Amino acid sequence: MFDWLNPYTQLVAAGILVNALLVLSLFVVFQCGVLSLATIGFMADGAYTSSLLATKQHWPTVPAIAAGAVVAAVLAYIFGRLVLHLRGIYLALGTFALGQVFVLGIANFTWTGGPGGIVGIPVDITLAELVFVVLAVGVVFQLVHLSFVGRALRAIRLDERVAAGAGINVARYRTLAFTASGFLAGLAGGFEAFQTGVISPDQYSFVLLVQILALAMIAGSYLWAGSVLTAIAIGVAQQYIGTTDALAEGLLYGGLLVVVMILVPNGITDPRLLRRLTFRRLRPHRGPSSPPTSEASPSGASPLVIK
Amino acid sequence: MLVLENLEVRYGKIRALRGVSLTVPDHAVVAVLGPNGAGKSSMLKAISGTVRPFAGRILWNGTDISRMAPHKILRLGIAHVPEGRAMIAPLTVEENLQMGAYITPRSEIDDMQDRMLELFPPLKARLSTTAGSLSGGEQQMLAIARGLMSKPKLIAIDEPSMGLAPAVANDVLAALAAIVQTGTSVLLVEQNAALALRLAHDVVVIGHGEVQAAGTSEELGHDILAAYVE
Amino acid sequence: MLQQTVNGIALGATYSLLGLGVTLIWGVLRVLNFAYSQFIVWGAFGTLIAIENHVPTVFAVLIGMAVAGVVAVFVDMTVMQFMRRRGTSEFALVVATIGVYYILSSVAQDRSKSQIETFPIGGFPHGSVDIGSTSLPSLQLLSLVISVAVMIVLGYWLNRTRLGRATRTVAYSAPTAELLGVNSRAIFALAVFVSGCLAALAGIFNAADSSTLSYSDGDQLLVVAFAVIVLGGMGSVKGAVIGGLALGLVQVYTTLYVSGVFSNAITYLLIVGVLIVRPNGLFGVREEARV
Repeated sequence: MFDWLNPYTQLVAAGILVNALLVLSLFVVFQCGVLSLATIGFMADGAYTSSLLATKQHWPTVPAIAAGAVVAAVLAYIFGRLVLHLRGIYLALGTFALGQVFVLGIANFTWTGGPGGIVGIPVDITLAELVFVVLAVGVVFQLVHLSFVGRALRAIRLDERVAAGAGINVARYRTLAFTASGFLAGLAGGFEAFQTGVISPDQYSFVLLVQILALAMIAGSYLWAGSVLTAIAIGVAQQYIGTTDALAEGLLYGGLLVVVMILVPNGITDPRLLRRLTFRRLRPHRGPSSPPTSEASPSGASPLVIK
Repeated sequence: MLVLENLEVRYGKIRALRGVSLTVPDHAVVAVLGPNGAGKSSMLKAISGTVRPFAGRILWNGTDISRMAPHKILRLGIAHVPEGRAMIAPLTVEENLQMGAYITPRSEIDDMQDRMLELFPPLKARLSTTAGSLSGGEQQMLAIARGLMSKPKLIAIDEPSMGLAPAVANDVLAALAAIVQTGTSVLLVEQNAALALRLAHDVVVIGHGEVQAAGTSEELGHDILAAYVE
Repeated sequence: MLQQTVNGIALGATYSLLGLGVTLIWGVLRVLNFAYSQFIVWGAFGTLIAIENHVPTVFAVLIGMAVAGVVAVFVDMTVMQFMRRRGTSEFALVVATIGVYYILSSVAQDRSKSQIETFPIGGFPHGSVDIGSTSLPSLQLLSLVISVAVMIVLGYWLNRTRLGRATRTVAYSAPTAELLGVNSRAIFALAVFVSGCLAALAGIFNAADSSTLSYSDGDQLLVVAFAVIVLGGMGSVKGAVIGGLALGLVQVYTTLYVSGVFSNAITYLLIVGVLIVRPNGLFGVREEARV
């Protein structure tokens, strides 16, 4: 299907789609107001599970990747139940540490290949298959978005207490979202492993987390399609700019993250932002001139002096 | 002398004050009356610099203070005792008083503290208690005392009687009367008109963000006040 | 065993410094600052460059602390100040600090060409001091003395001085502090500066201990700092010191009885475990519900 692209372009495109899956993994938790920094850990879980099954147990690729995603989801479910009662900063800290525990654990056991990682993973995922998976995930997201589950998740983000008051089981939905996040990250990890054929613990780095986080924050957590499109747009842009050295990459992603947080902390798909942009076009432009009431107000023209 | 000229305060699209003008002369007590949501608290917040006015000016002895930071305005002699008393809950009563004297010269702090404890005797026994565990009346006393520790020329007090039992409110009022005797101007925001009128001679009624009536309490008469306030 | 305990306490002393810095920013500004990791690195690099330019070590350390302090204040006054004024969520603040971290880290990486550099330790105390049957490297003894001194000074400053009271008031409510005449921005800047200095001090001790310095040294130390404040309770000065010492002991014992490779993993496990069991830290005070 994508044979007309040269192999390098296919590899880059696959990398961008893996990023899109990771961004969706963050989207799913951000959507209900959970700042999770555990995604990269779940990605490693998925990648290692599927790779070990393929290289040691000789599982075929598709079941291996699926198993990796499921294992990541199960881990997310178990640990999600433990850490999700935390709030705000504590939750960010807890999930951050959780993600790192997985990566460090993998790096320190011998049966995972230790710091050296795993080589010889079959490279037999085509770009077409990845495109199909991302589209399929998108369809599921759209269905969830339209269903009562999507409404419940959005309600929780808006106001947890009100949502709970309206009979929404907040804890269950947060756990559900965290589990889905683990599943998607595991899936992304599996696909990446079977794309490159080699994995090692140090690729699941904090820097990768920061990059994915930047994409997710730019996209915002209102429209799943926004996440996918942002991942694609910035991935493509990066190819054209040719940011290969660490400094340029750091300034690009770090700078984007800071600028976005300052200007549009809810991301570019923030409904209020979109509404304001469309309203501007409909209404006659009003500049920041001095308020009309300050001079012209007739009722308050003479200062009212007591006594 | 504090002069507000066409003061306008907005929160987003909501216009809390729509051009209020008034004057608080030196050594005066002015009561600002009005129902909930009339804009009284917004006016005090604008005076103390907590919110930036959208339009209009605030002049304090001829200086425009409408865009100054709160800590600078306090140094010019205007103290603001906000609604809800703004206790620094984890600090003790004494530490709260000391914080009130943050800008007061060191040599005068002890003297001021003694005077405050004289004015508000219930605080004396509570000096080493944390402010968060005081009763409502004690918190109100502490809030006013803390405001006075900076030796302001004008003290703006927001709803001192709110949530207090009538007897306690009376005590607070008596202390305020004593403050007036020392020559400090008082800008008193209240919903309880009867209470405010016992202290203040000059009255401004605010409603819907605008001055509805102003004058001495005799001029306005109880009927008008009652109509506006209740 | 006794020797290991001494080693653990010595290691914990540097950790305490890290924790004190983070706890100060957290306590005053309510920000979990990932860029802290780079204040550690930039401070150590400042010292390294100063020593390379023949500045006496003591002054080089002070220069390093000043560099980190200034960088920290710069970040706070630009990005953080701006976001605070706009009332941005805690969520966005954390993410912004991650962005700042990435920028600072890539600049440091570029400067050192992704290599690990040698940290000159000629000017630092070397050798070791015998205490009874155990011996303690002089460098670690020094860091122990300094962190205890810092704890005492910080404690005195926060509880006994006018400026310290003002800092606690700003920490509780910046608008109220402003109404009482406190320049809250100046207090924020002060707290951030001190915190940057402490980060640098920890980074310098760490570099001197291993006589190497890498742009990524801060990452590991940041996690240590987080673990320390989680253990000791966020925002608690005493907790930061106890938490630091406790973590130092745990790491040393883990290396001794389990395996050296797990001493890092145990740090993360401690964070998760303590957060699950006692979210306010082992020694922390329950934070009042902020509605």
